[in-house]
Amino acid sequence: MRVFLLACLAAVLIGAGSAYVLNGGYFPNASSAVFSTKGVRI
Amino acid sequence: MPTSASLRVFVAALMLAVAAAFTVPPATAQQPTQVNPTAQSVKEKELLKELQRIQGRSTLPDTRTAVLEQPGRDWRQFQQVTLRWIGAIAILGMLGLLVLFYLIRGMVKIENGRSGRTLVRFSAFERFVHWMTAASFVVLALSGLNITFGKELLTPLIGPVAFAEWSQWAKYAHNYLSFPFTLGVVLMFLMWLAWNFPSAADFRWLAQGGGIVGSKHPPAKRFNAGQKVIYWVVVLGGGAAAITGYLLMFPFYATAVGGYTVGTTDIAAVQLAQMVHGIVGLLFIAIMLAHIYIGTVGMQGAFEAMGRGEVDVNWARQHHSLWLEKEAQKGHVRGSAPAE
Repeated sequence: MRVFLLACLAAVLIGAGSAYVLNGGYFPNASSAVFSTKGVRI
Repeated sequence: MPTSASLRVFVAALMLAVAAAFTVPPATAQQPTQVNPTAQSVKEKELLKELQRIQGRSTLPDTRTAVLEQPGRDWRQFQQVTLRWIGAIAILGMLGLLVLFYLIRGMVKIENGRSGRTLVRFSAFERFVHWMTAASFVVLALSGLNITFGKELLTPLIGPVAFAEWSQWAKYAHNYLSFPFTLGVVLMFLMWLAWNFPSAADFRWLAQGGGIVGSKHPPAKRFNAGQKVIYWVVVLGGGAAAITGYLLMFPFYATAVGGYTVGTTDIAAVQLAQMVHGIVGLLFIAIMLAHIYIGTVGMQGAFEAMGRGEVDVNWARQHHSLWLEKEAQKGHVRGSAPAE
């Protein structure tokens, strides 16, 4: 159970980390940058 | 000569009469009673079929903005009809088969009962990777099914506003949980590769129904042929889903790198990626249902392998006798044998 919970926590943390990176303007024009349009260029 | 002159006058008069007859429309044509202005016009479908795309010129840096209409009807048909049929048949078909199989075969029991002795089947790290991938996969599967079936199935139940809100969060989850899923697939590929090459024992295992169909329990190493199939489905299917998924997440990077295109346009590459992603995802879900079944209600003692990490010796002897022999030689079996 402990391993399972740790695995779920890791999934959430990695997911949240990727959301932070993808919405940080490092990848403008990425369709996954959904929270913000900051840095999006036409 | 007067005769010749008269003849010329007559012929000229005749030509004028004929010309007049063809140039003056009949009275009925001048006053039409029914007009169909689009009768001879080119239909949009015919135009697209002929031209495939309608493109102009644009001064914007992004040349794709010059495309006014592009191919997409086939993709829409696939997305709205074909993919749904594939998914429904694969998933409902698998569920039906599993229910039928359970009713016929029931749970595969540990025939000699539990021995009380155990051995480690999966380390804590292996279980961590498995559950990280599995947890991500469950969310990916549900949010992916929502993309294909959600609008038709959920909107009548929860209404369009709630469906839109749920779908938006499901899309976020689908995008971002792809990263732990992909990491998990890569780690599983690396840490279990050595045990997943086909061997002669696999063919004997398959020929005897793997101990699932029938009553025989063919010898198997750490992973039997069925588990190897699951492994390669996860590695190859997960890999294909990840690659096509990232093409969809980064459409203006990957499909434009080095002028890379599939078909005639960048959009065609995105459409192809979506089609592959949809098919692989739905088949992946169907196959994982079988994996979940055999790891839970389908086989006694199987869940412990990925739950606690340890399995009973009698379970190992029944399903992985060759692996048990090696582990026993290494002294990895714990506990003492029950008194005779």
